[in-house]
Amino acid sequence: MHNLKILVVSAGLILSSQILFSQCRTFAKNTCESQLEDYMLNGRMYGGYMVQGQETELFIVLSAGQKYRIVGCTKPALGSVWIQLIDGNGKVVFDNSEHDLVQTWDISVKSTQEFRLRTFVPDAKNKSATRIRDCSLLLLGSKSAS
Amino acid sequence: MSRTNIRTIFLLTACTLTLWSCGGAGGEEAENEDQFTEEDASGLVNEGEKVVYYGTPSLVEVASIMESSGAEFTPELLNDPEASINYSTNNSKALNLGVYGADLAYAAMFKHTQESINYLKTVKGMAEDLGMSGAFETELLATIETNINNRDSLLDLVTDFYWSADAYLQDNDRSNVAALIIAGGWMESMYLACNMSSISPNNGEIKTKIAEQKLILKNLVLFMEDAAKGDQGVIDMNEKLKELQKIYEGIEITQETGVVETQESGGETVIANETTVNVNNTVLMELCAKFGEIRNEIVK
Repeated sequence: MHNLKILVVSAGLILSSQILFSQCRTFAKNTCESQLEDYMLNGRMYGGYMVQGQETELFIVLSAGQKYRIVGCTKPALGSVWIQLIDGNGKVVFDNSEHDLVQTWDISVKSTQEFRLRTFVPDAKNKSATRIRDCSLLLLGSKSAS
Repeated sequence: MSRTNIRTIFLLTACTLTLWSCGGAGGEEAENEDQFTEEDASGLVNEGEKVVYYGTPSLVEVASIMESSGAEFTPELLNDPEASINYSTNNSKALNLGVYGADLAYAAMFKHTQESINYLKTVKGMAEDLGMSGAFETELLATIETNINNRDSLLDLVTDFYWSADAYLQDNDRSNVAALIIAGGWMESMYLACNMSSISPNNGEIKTKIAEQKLILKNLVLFMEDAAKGDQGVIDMNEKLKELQKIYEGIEITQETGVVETQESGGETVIANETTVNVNNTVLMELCAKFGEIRNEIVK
């Protein structure tokens, strides 16, 4: 009986993890993707079920002749994510904290280069409180600049 | 429930989650083994731990770059849809699903409707063969078929198709299959680009674009390393990518920070950076020979 309880709880937790991943994908599809407008999603979405204070880093290459749209998309409970785009030499070339944490921004480059996209989910205001976990995603779209 | 029982449950759960997410060594037929993926990591990491992702090449973006560089459509270069019946293992099916996806994006980008329809049917069939029929809403396929003459809608829907496939595979702990699809697609895109380059030897733009893929390859290799987690099919493919990386060492790319202009109205930033790409024709020929060799091995 004791072992059965353990198995049931374990199975429940595993299942709930998978459900949470799926929920974030549904959220991406239903809520976030439309913010790309005529930009085509670059194949994948980045992020998932995140906790307040979480940091992510995405290594990307932006190509000349293309325009890109960065979309930060989080459930309201987490608030707006802080987004920074950093070039191959470590220089911050875009920081949404300078633009009221806007969650959608377009970028174009004169020549193809490597970049890092850093995001930070805002930390809990009350540090002693339990941190909230919810969906936080970063979408990258592209279209021809011509 | 006693404190000991609670602790036991948590320990067992943690162990189970670790085993579930990390998976084990795999072989050619080990596609269903669990993988600890980028997306999985995002849900399981400890508070404060940084999650790192490596951007993967987008089939539509690569096709768009090639189209804008003045390349021409050459249907003979594409993998014959009829050949899809020859791929019997899950690994070869996954790699060739990527190959056909690149062919579909290429045909759609150059507005070749009949070829797009043929490749769409092939892609759909192979996805079903790989047990991914649950990935696609019936309406999505119907919408693709009704938008076959509208290039932008078609490309958008192709992107959606692959996004759904990737999400489905991640949800079902089959990120190794997703990795092979991505690698196969990139390999076909580069094979096509190389052949376009040899057809139009004076088109320096295509050569530069092939050389610039050195940067994409760097991220792709790291992505594959993350996705492999013991899967032999992914490890083998990544070894081939590393062979390409060695040849790419002969191409020098210098990146310099430039002026960053943000529009006053907001919403857009233009980065006037400078990248110098040293395109060495001998290295380019060696690269294209290697792309051809790997691609032909995939489609044989």
